[in-house]
Parts: sequence; structure tokens; C-alpha cells
Amino acid sequence: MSDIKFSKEELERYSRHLIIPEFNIEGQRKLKAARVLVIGTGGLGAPLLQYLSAAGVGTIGIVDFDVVEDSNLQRQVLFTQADIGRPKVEAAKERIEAQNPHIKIKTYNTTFTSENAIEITSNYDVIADGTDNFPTRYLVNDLSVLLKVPNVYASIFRFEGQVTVFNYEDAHGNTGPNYRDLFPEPPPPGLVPSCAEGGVIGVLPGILGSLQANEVIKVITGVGDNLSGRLFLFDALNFETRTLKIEKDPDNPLNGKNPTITELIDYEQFCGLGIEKKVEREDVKGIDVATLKTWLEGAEDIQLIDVREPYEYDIVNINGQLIPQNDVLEHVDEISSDYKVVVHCRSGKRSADVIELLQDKYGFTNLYNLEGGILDWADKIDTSLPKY
Amino acid sequence: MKVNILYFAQISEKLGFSKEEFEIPDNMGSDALVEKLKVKYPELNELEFAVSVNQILVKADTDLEEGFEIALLPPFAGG
Repeated sequence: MSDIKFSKEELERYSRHLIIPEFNIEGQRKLKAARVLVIGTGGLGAPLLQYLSAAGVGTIGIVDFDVVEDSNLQRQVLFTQADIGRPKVEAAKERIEAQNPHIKIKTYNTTFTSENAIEITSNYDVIADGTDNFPTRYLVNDLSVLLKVPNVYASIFRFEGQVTVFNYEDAHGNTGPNYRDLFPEPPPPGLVPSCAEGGVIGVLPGILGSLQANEVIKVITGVGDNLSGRLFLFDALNFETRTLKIEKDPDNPLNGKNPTITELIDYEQFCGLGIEKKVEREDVKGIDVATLKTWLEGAEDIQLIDVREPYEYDIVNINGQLIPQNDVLEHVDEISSDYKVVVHCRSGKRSADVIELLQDKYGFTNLYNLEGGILDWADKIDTSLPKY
Repeated sequence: MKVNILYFAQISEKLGFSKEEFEIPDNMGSDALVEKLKVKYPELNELEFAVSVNQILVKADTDLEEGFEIALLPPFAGG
């Protein structure tokens, strides 16, 4: 480590670390030598990237396939109004380079998949998982175990968050638990809403992502006790915290007694997402937004039903009849069986579920799913409408 | 005996509350308690969750005592 040198500017910049006795210049050298891969540049990625770069982590990799959207800015404080439409990794790199010119940033403007994950990750010592979906969560977990790198994990939902360190090898060579010790298999698809579907209070990823950055710094420097083997839970609504002990599960399919997973798998398939899409296409008739526009302007009677929640209807609507998904069975008498009925939601997923249910239970044959939902309508038909 | 149950994330949202005190028979273990909760709250059958007893996540059936804290923790993946 003594071959890691600092310029005068760097020593001045990091001086508040250097004067902490248990951190000192050794800790700062370890940070400079470290290579951290931040996967996902969303709500968690924002504080992670800002604090890791400010702290002087020498090499930071950033993976994301997305572009900055209006609805990101409520919590993704790394981005500004002017970044809307830009690739997230590009905007993030520019911002953190301006904050700290002494570090190296590598960007991967791509979806993180089983095909590219090993190649990207092999250049890094620590992973920080700030992704937003189960397939990538399991991919990142399995990858960290197979490549033997620690995975500093955080995740959020509405007002709640979790943080821990997975797959951490301590000074005695003992490796701590991983995500599959906690949840061996993903929940069935569609059961757990994402931030896009379920919402999240903007400051929450700021809190959890900052805790995650702190754990990354502890893992790198070896300072203090990191969260390996413990899951920290935070409920911002009631201000409750808990730290649960996680133990290794002998039945863990990755590194238990009889491992069944020895390489990366197809995680979309594993989480049931690949299969679900096929089923939906076969059973549910879909139309695109242009077809709906033609139908609405034509002479034929059309019933348009909106199965979102009232608070979503208040944000934006296209004059559909509001029957929230969970109330559909009670209002089935209001749904026409004579003329064409188009069912829509935000993106087309809930409406497809509703149609499937109505077809199975009541044998409707006149239901059409609006593919892409009101979001696609706002994109292609009426761009004056807000997207959320 | 009485135990304290904590519900997190989606479970607390479905139930409308995040904790409750629960009266159970003296010899009831964690597995039987979870089954009892699933009967009382059928919504739990549709959700996956991990279970902790006194802040330790447990996979196997675990003995309970008066005042123990049991938490039901569903997964979430937001970022």
C-alpha cells in the first residue's frame, strides 16, 4: 500500500479522513487503490456515487442502461433538469468528475446481464448493488459469490429500506451470508411492486444509499464492524429500526452443502418474467395506442376502462371509467359484454391481469388490453399529458 | 402467552398496521404461529416473506417465549 502516493491537493482534500486516528493515511491509501462497481444509477446510486467519489475511491465503475427522466429528479439528486434525456452514466460521470478530478470513472451504458456481468465485474474489488428489480438483484448476488467479491446491498420500498453486506470474507477467511441465505428464490413476478409501480419517498434512497456508501468504505478500509451477517431495516414512516442477524443456510443453492448453481443463469426466466410475457400474449388481445385513437374517433361504441388507483387517475387520465383493479369483480356488471371494451392502466400490465381474470371467471371475449398503457398514450398520442 | 409481531413493507401495507401483540398457546413455535397468522390474514398466503425471532432470521421452527418479537419480512428490490 505504501506505493500509493498522494499529491498536495489530494492530501488537503482528504485531510478530514487523515486526521481520524483509526482511518488515517492507510485508510485513504486503501480507498485510492480500491475499484468499486456501482450497479444502477438510480435513487441509491446517487448518494453512493457522490460519497464514494468524494471520499476518494480510486476507480469507480458505473453501470446503467437508462436515460434521465423527469420522474427521476424527485430523488436522484445526482442529476439536474438539463440532464433529462441523457444517458445516466454519462451525466453521472460528468457530475462526479467535477466534484473530484483525482479519481478514475469508467462507464458501462448497457443492461447488466448474465452475458456481460463477468467481463465487467472482473475489474473490480467491491460491488455496490443499487439496482431496482429482482432479476438483477439475483444476478448481482450470484456473481459476487462466484467471483468472490463482497456485495454491499441496499434496497427500498415506499418508506422502508434494508442495507447489508453480502458475501464478505473476514480476516479469518470466513465468508458471510448472501442474498440467497435470506431469500433463496425470488417472489413470483408481479407480486412485489417496483419503485415505478409502488412509489418511494424521495429522501429514503438518500438515507439508505448513504449508509450503503459508508459500508463500502468500511469494507475497503477494514475500519469498524461492517454489516456482514446483519440486515439493517429502516422504516422512515414510523421511525423504527431493527438489525436482524442473518445466518448462512446449509441449503443455499449457491454455496450451501450441495450447490446446484455453479454459473450465472437466465435471471429473467428464473424470476418468471420471460414466461409471463408469453402467457399474456396468448391469452389477452392487445391493441396499441394508435388503434385506440382510431376506435375512439370511429362510429362504433367503445367502453374505456381505467383500472388504476384513484390517486393515479388524479395525476392524469384519458376519460376512462375508473374501476381500480381490486374492485373490478364488484363492478363487473358495469362492464359491457356487447361492444368492444378497452382496459388500460399505467403501462399495460395490471390491465392485462384484469382481462385475464375477467376472461377466466366470466368468459368475456370483447376485452382489449391497451399495450403500453397511458404512458404510451402520453408518448405518442397526447404529449401534453404528464408521465409518472 | 403474548408475543409481539412486526409486519414490514408490503405486509404492513396489506394489513394496514405494522405491529400487534398476539396471544398464543404456551407451546406454540414459530412455524405454527406463521400458519395461525396465515389463517387469520389470508393475504399472507399470497406473499413471500422471511421470518425473524428476536432479531434473528430463522429458517427452522423455533421455540417462542412470552414477550418474544417475531418479524415478517417480505423482499423488495427498489433502488
